[in-house]
Amino acid sequence: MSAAGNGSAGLRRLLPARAADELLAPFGRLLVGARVRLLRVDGALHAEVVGASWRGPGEPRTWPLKVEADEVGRLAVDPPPEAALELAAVDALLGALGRTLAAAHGQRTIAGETLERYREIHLLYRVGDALAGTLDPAAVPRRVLAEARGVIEGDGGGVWLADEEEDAAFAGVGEPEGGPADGGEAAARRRARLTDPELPAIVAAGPGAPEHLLWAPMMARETCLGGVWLTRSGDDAVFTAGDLKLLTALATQAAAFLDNARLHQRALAQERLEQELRLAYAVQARLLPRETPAAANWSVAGFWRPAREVSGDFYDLLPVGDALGVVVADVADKGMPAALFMAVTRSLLRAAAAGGRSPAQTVADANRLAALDAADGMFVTLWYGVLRPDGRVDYVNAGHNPPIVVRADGRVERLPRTGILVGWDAGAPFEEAGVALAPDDLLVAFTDGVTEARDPGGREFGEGRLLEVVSANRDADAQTVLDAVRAALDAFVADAPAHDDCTLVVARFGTPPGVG
Amino acid sequence: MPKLLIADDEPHIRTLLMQTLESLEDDGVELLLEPDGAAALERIRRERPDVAFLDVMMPRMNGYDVCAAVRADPDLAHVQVVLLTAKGQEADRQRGADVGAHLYLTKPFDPDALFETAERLLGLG
Repeated sequence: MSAAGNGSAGLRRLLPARAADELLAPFGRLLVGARVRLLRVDGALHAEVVGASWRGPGEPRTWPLKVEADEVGRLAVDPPPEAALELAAVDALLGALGRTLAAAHGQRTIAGETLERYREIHLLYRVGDALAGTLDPAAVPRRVLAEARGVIEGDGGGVWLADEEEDAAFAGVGEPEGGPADGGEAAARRRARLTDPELPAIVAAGPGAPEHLLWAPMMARETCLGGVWLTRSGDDAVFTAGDLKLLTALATQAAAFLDNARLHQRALAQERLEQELRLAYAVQARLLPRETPAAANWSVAGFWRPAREVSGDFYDLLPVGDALGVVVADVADKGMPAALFMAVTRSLLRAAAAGGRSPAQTVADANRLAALDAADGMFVTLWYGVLRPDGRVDYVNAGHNPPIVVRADGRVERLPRTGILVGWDAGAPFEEAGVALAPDDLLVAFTDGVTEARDPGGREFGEGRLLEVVSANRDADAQTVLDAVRAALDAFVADAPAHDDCTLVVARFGTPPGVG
Repeated sequence: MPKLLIADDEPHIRTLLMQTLESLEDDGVELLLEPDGAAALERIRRERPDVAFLDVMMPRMNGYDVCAAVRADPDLAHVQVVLLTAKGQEADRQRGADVGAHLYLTKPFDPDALFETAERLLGLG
């Protein structure tokens, strides 16, 4: 008895030489005149037993040895059995071989499955380890493809990533470059929705397409972020269900890392944006008056609070000869676009007001220039008044909510609109109006963010509450009145979110209380 | 002809190791299987394999002791020992190094890494 050398793996792996010898041994005693051999599929000798009275080589009779329809070798008996007893012995041997080979095949199948699971565990561990420190989404596809190709044999493969903006597929990485499944130009030409069930077919389409394609979507939080594919060619190169499970596990894990990396990038971008907004707020706050220019017989106080980091509201105080120019303005938007337009408007008004020009001329000039620069729907309502030393106020109300004059005796007057909003029509006319304030009269100009501020129940602060607070403090100086309004506003709004920017200017004509 | 010995008391692990490494036979490597530590040491002394994959927890003689015995024998200086175990703690790994193991692999093993390790230690591939 002996074992043969190299040859087909079938018999050798299913029935190792020692086991084959043990199985054949009893049949050497049953078939004493014969030589019984196990041959591999390539004809090489795997094992044999020679009967005691065998007379030398003859013409053998052979029977195929099969496992699940595949021939793994042959049984050869020489000389062929003739007697019934010998035929029965051969039948018994074929039965024993069939059972042994089937059992070995079953055991190998289970072992193979177990090794696949081992591979899967280690693949996921390795990918996890490699990607754990990856916060760069761009690094994920190449790594995933490399790992996939490392554990599942294939001719090529690639990774498609969903375009975050358009929910469409775009090129990730592909191998071999320029091949049918390359994620390069071919993929870009065939933009397809990743949720399209036909996607694998789309990937595989085109001249020179691979015969077999394995596709696993990269799913995270019920969203398809892309997919991984591998390709093979050749009739016997079909991907198995195990391959698909492995690729799916890999794609799912990669999707989690990709999702995480993208979230991290978004968080970074958000942080940068917030930092920029904080800077923008600081810049914008510097555009507001830091001190009140001296104005004979007037005391003035102002406050400004953006609803977000930056604001479309502003107020300005500028010397106009011996008078004081006061601007309260509200750009019809919020956030960064409004803040930029606010800065433009402020500069235009300052430039237009230079040289002591009238409020009507000033606003008309600023309007003309602002209308040229204004983007669609970008305009500003403003009240611009010039507070003169004798108590007279000349003003233009360009579409702004009317400022209030509270007389010393408690009467209330409103300063109506004298023109349309600024930035809407370059040629719009702006009329000028005037009001004379007597000593101890108050002028209150504000944006609608004050009167439309809401409490947690959604009710508006309203002009009524504003008037109540101002009237109750009408004997106080401008800053005290302003502080009282601000405190009342804060108490009213409480912890409700701010809906709009708030700006308020209080001017009091005459000698401040307690002075002189 | 290079030889590689596999020793593990669990038959299904022996099957998995064998199935992982069986294609080495195509390169002329002889694979030897043993079910416990004492048998493994006896086979190592007799067959003098190039590489021995030893399970740590085996009856009669554990993998550490087999490895220490191999290292204590000057005639077996060429035998490269790989300890294979479910014990994954650093102290166990250190003990493997202390008894002179070349490598310490944990179960469940990575079939591809195990095969590459065997190829490398045998000077193949």
